Amino acid sequence: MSGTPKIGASVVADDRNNLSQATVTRTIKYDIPYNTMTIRTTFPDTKALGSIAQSQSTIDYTATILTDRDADDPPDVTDYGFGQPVVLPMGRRDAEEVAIGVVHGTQVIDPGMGGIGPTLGADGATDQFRPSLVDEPTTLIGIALLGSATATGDSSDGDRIETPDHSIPTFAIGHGTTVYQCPEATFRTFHFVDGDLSLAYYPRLTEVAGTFGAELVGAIAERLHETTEGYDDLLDVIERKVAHQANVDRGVLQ
Amino acid sequence: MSNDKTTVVDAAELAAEPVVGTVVEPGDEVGEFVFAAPDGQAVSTGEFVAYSQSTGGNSDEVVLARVSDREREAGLPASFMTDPDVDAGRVATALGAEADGGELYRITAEVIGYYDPGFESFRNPRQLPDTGTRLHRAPGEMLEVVIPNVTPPGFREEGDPDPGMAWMGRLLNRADEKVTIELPVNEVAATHLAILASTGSGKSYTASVLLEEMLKPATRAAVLVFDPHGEYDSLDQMCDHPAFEGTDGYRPSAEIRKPDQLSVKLADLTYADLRSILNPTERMASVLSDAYDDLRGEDAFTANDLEQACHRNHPDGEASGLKWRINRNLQQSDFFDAYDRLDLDALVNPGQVTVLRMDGLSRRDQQVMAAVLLRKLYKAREAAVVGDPDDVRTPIEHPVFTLFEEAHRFAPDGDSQALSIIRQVNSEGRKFGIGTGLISQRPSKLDQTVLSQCGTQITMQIKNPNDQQAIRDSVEGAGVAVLDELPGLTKGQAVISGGAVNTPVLTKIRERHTEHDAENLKADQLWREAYDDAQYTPSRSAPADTDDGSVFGSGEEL
Repeated sequence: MSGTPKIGASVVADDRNNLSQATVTRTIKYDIPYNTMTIRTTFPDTKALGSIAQSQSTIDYTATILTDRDADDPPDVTDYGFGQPVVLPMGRRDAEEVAIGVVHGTQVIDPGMGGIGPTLGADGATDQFRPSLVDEPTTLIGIALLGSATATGDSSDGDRIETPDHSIPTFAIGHGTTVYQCPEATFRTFHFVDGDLSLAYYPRLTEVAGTFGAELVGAIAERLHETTEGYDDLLDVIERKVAHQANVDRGVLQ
Repeated sequence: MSNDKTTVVDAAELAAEPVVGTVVEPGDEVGEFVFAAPDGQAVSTGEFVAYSQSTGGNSDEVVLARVSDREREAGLPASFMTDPDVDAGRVATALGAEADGGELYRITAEVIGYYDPGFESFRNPRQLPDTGTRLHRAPGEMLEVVIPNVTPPGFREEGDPDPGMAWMGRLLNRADEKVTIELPVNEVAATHLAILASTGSGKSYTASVLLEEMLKPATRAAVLVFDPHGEYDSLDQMCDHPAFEGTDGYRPSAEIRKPDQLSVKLADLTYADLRSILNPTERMASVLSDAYDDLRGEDAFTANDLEQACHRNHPDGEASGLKWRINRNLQQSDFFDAYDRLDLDALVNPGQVTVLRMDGLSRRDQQVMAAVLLRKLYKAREAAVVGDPDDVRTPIEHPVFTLFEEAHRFAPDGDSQALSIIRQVNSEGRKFGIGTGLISQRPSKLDQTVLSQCGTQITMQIKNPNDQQAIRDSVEGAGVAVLDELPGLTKGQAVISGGAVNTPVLTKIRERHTEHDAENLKADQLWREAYDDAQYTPSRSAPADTDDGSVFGSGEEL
């Protein structure tokens, strides 16, 4: 199946109890039919971007981007740009909850950087003497969690989620949990709490995103501009407020 | 035997009132403290709050404080308001803040005190509430009894007379309950009253309310109104209004004197009055002085007598110019006469309001009239209180309250015939039971000595900075709290301050029982009516073609 991640052996071994990984693994390797609602029943067509590798806080996570060794169709840089909405399964068995987040930064890592001295043999020979058989350069993305929601289990429903909640997600996201792109319609639905547009995660988000909080909120507002109607004036005020605050903080304005 | 009540309101009764805030710290000024209130609407300036505090006695005292200032401590940032079409509360809600729960106000209040039955007055505890003390809204029934400067009902000795309260209106800030504001009439009349307000904000309305209260069966005052504009005619409706009927058959009487019924007796004029009226040269003044000396002992004399006296003293013709002036100003005037129609017996009686309508009189005549009457009143009261009643033809055996509408005409910051006697009455009238009420829209044009002697002030909307400064300079007890409120008041709202109340209080003046005469003229309507009248009235000039004397002959077409 195109786009379905092939989970690396180490991930499966370390994290068998993790719902999403186990689900994906079962689907692929054991072919065990599932009757509980999972993220893949709700988001079967969404692209997997990477897997959770670390967290800085309960709402600030780091994920490694899938490479062509992990998936048939690894994500392109355009798939995990700044402000890209993501959806993650919450770390509970049989859970229907998903966490909604956004990409707030990227980092490229190559442990071999600096190792540019002369080699002692031909290219083919030196490959065998490297400390690992796997190329280690990788891309990390920072994910700020905005809140949580309940997956409907119905991918034909444009919303795919209900009861969005902008408070801090109660449960941790497990190591190795797959991060998926969040469809625009779902992201829009997430922002309607009690029928009105809400960005109630805003104070926390700017904490996590740090210096670029204003731009991140701007990027989210830009997406909502395109997917909502009747909220342009409100979004404009919010964008202006955030941009002004950032300009003051950076010493551009007083 | 004194009533056994020890507090106006006890701590348990206070606890039933809603909590409005918590004490944070002492304020900048002595006797002030700052408290925090989450809901700014609940506590506006001028509102009263109360807390219970131990003052060393057996039980905690309920201490009253008045809110004097409000500042916002926390709330929505201005950047939420960049688009006037977008409600800032919506932005706050969208960003996860409580739109109406985030406002926090820092409110300054000044301690007024608690009622001490031992001292029969308000007593300042001289210590501020502790940080964390919870403040309640002051109970309405507590305010009703502690705002007027009289012994609260529960503390009066048995047999004490009723203090005679004038119901002026209700506390302005309380929308949900009516807290009646009353003034002790005795205090108002004895220490003089000033009603200061810009035009159209309800001065004469407020004065009429006070007059109505003074004429009620419980008070039955003797009131004399100097009315330059004829605004008090409707007071005669009191005579058959049920609100003024006493159980013993009492009804107030109202005497409205029209301008043509007013005159001044020449013998009542002082030499200074005559000089001011006749405006003589130095030489004439000397002749006048001699003539006045001749006539001073007379009970009555005519303008002719004065002329004769001038002639007698200076038969050489020196007095001819003066005689011309006497003839011109006194002889030909209906206003000055050998005998007057202003008998004090008829003018001032208990349960009677006398309105002297002075519209049509010149300003000088108005001043002379006020001066003459006030002098007579003063002498009559002085004779009744301390002197030999035989000295005066008509001693007045009861106190009198006089009210001056447009008081800047009578006691201006400049020259006036009436100024010296008004000054005298305001500074010494208390001893003789003559009270004055001064109504003015220009406090800065009033004589500052006179104004400063008005112990009770009812101040309404005043925006003019000069007038505000005049109040600041000369009205005792007009604190910053009062002055800050003045520009924001609307019609019918007043700050009552001074000796009659224990603390300045924002009041909505009650509605009159009688009709109000001093409404604005409806200029547009009158213009339209006048225009229509002019359209339908035949012109007085005859058309040219009907002019019999026309050179063209009658009916000839041109």
